[in-house]
Amino acid sequence: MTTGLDARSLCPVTGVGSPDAVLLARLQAGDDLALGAVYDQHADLVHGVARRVTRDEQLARDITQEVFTYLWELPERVDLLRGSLRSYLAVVAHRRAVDEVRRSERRARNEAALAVADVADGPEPSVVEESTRAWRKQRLDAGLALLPPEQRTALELAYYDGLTYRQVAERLGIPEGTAKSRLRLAMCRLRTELGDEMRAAM
Amino acid sequence: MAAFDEELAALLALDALEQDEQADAELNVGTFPAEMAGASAALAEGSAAPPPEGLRASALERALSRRTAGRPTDAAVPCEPLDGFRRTITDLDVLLASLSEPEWDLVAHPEHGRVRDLIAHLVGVEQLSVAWLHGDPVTDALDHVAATRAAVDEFADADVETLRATWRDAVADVVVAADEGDPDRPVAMHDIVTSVSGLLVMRTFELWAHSMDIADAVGRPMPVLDDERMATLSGRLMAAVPLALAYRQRTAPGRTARFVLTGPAGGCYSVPLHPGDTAGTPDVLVVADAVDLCRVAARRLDADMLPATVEGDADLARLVLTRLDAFARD
Repeated sequence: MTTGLDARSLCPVTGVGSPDAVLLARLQAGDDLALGAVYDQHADLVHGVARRVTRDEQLARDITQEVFTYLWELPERVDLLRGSLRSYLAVVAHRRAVDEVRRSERRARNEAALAVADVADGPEPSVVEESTRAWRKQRLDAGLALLPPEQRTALELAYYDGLTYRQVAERLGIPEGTAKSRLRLAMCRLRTELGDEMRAAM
Repeated sequence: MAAFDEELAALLALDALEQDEQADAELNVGTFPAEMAGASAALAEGSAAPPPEGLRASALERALSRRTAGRPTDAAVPCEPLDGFRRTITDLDVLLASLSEPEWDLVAHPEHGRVRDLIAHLVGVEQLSVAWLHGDPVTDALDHVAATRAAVDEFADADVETLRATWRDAVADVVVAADEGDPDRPVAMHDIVTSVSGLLVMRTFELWAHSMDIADAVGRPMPVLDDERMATLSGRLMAAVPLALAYRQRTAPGRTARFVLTGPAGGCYSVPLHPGDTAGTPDVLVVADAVDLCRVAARRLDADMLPATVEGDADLARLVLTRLDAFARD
């Protein structure tokens, strides 16, 4: 009763419900084309954050598969009142990546190899996808640049390296309370600086 | 938000808590702290990049191996058409038993008239159904309303308990006739050739539609069929779409509509828009609630009022949606 996996969305949605709400309704109804559409829209984020945190391409692929399988099996877990589908997937992907890093301790950091892999592995992104991605990155960089250096460092260690606040404190040689405080202030500032525009876009 | 909770939310959103602190934090601020999730998702944007080429196929394949496509997460199991018909008889009888004497005289249908006239019409339809099921010749029965006019006249002044008992007996005869032999055997109903199962599904649609008419007339809640029955009706409806278009003489050869029906009675259907065609790449996608779509087919919801999302050829969607009620005869 369903058609091939490679079909893409037909054209922009008209009718009732936000695009995310419609996609979720389709996933709940068992629409595999919707799963493909969600992958097309958000795999860059899911795979990207998984690879950034794990520094391991194979783990990133596994996590990406897990995240989309999880969404397909339990789409009702997504609460759009608490954020967009994209931000939900980002949270799930990051959590799985951090879990993986802490569990396996396989952290072969090789930024140079990753940079090469970026070019060799990825398909050609569309102009729209690329410009959207660039816009989001630009806004993030601008937001991060406004943070005091000590907050930014703590934030990057926690988010991109998957460290706990205790590990952040050890790494920076600061008390745990200070590490917590820096992370809280950084997140609050980032939330404010990113503004409604980017949060809505996410 | 208090500073303590804000700190917990920030650490949770960053996944920066120690393992033994995670559960308590989630109890305090939830597993997905909305206040901070946007900021942490924004951080993820810093890592977004095109995924590897082959990952799409393997990710989708893995997901689909864990949950089969086409069925809802909370899918109801369709019931047998005869079972669905029986349950709908019971529902209507319960509704009728709850009516006061004056309520039987309220107008319930623009063509049939009062509640009592509607039930008298059903007595006539049950008698026709028995004849159809037995393959007996039925004359002058092309117009569903006119074909039962004699029954409506006969019971116009009947005692309501007598009328209700007469309908119960008549519909019991239908159940007996339907239960004899192969449920797939062909049956001619008006000018439609279907199977016994097909007739029972159409009759279930009809009883449900008239239950809605009566409930509306007497100010009761709209009757809701259980999910198993709705799954039967929606599945049969989807299978009948090409025939409905052909019946209305407006097929679309070579074209395909994909219906994504939401709710436990829903599912995904790629439907060819011409009898005998095979479904191809969808020209249009319609996302709608399964119950709402069945109400359109029962002619109890105007297609233009259907809450739906359409992607693709909207004109084609309209062509299909406005002909879903082809077999509703009232």
